[in-house]
Amino acid sequence: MKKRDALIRYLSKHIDKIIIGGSYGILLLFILAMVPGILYQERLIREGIWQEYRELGNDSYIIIYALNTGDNKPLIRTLDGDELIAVDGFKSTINVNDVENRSFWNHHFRNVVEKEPVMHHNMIWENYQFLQVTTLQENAVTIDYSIKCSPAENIKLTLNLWHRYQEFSVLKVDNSTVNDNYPGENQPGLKYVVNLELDPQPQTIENAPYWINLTYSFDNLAVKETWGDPIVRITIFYDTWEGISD
Amino acid sequence: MPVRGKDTTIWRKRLLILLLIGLSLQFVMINFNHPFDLQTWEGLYVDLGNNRSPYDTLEDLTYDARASYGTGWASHYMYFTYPPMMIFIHYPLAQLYWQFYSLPATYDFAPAGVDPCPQVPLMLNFMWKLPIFLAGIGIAVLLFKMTNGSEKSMKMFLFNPFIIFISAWWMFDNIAVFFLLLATYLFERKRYDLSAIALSFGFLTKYFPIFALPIFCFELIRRRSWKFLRYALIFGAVSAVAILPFLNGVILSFEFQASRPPAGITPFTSAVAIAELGLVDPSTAAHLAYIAIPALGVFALITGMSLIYAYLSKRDISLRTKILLTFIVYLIVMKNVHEPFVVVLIPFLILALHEDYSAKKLWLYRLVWILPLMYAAINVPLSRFFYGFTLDEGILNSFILPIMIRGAILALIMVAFHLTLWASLIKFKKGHK
Repeated sequence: MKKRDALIRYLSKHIDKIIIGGSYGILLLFILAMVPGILYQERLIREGIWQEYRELGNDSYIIIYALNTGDNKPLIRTLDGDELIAVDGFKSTINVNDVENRSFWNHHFRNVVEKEPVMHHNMIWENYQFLQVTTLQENAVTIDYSIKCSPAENIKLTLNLWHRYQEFSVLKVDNSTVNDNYPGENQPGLKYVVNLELDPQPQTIENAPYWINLTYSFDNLAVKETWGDPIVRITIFYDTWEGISD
Repeated sequence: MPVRGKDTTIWRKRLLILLLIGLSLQFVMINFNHPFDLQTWEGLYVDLGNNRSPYDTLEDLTYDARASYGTGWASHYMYFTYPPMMIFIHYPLAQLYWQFYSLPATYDFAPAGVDPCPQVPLMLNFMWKLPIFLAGIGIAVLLFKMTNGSEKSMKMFLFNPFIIFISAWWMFDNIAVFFLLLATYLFERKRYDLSAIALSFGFLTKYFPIFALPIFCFELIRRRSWKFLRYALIFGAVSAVAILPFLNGVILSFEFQASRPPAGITPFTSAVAIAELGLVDPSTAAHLAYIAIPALGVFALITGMSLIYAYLSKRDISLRTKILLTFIVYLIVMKNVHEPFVVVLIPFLILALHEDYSAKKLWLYRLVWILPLMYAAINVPLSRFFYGFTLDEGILNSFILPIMIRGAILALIMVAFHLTLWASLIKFKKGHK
């Protein structure tokens, strides 16, 4: 008891000094804890800024899908002087090892007035990176995907479409399913869900060991492949939608 | 002072009428909202209706915000970035609410950096704000009790325009402050266990009441009592029980609070102003806002709070004054001082004025709430709270001042507010024992 009493007396007497000493310790801990956080935050900013100026597709593996917007003009609205074009209707979801899910809703294009109808997505998390560049064109929306992961990952890419005019632009991709009646995440207007099973085959991509390979179909698709060192670029676009409208 | 017998009944009726008037004043303004925060409350109700954790939605939105490029880029999405208490409070209310309204299959969020314009039924506003209003009544009653029945103290809180504005139009700080004040009240009555639980509830509502924890513990140490260990353990255990089911979400919201760009009535915002004026390139601005200033903020917070704790730890002044001084320093050193944060000072200033009144202190009290009110009116600005009351929301934008004029006025208010905080720190430190 005497020791306890002596200790609390000591604490009470020197509490101010203990607090100041402790604050140095906490500061040190915070510095140590902040380092990885700052590095991660810095990477988020740097990669995002860098993406704007880089050549898309450089050292990456890209698939481009073309989606028909038909006669439906995108919604245009002005907000704080920034003109936005909203194209609601499709969502990309990447699934890693049936656990990790990241979704991208593609519905706002900025800076259209500045002739840059491009929406950039650059998702970085843990060891993964998913680039998505969506471009609004005259009568189409084009999405470029790049996926970076480790070779052993099981990657699935799902494209949800629910514009009514998508019923005329059937997108066929091998190793995928197109379900006309799929309700799709409770979206009443959803028409198609395209599931792409991605098979990582890094040995087929020279000097790009961390970029996965995709399996796809050539049916109804014009495929242009460019294999380079270290550039790996594949462009797939669906070309039968042109001229089809309701 | 209340008296016995028939007069007591009259007195109680009078108090009840006062409380009802205070409550009615807030209910009249139930449909005014900060559009961005209303988006969060609406989303929270949809999440709870779907039995979905709002932290999962926060995570999805955060990844989406990080993925967006350009003006919409943000390291975190400002959705439900609070501790889980509001989930517990509103889960049953949300279930009840969705009995009367059809639960939407989807909900939409504005991209990060873009103003949403949500419209919600009156009932949702009622459900959301009822606990806030009740907490305000709770604070008024506690003030009445802690000032030995001072009706004036209670009225100062109930009819304070800033309090009415924040709780009826904007934020739920009232609830966190109620628990903090309750913890103080119970501590003063030596109900330490209950005080620790109440403080934990405050921390589980909004994070800031945790800064009072050292004050309570140091007070017990100053009195040479080992009960500080029990106090800290109870606080930690109650907080852990509530947080553990949502641990990842709470960590994400902590990350958000730590790394969010500076904002509000603080000199830290000058970095953001530099970027908005185009004095630095976007990359530098992003590094300033998301890395340099938050890092500096951590140093300022730890240093400032340590100094005030060390200063107060051996002072023989009242506990309520110590808490007041702690939160004055908190507002001085924080990198984010949004207008609602100032609510925490109001009841403790009222208590301090009751302890030791002077005309100068009264003016400091007034400035402490008038300046943030002015700041909010220009910064938000006030017109944004009127979304839904006009057919043409574009008209509301015409009330926004040109950026240079607006920046200059806000800077002046910010300086005046900081001078007020410093003056209050000096003036109120001579609190009674």
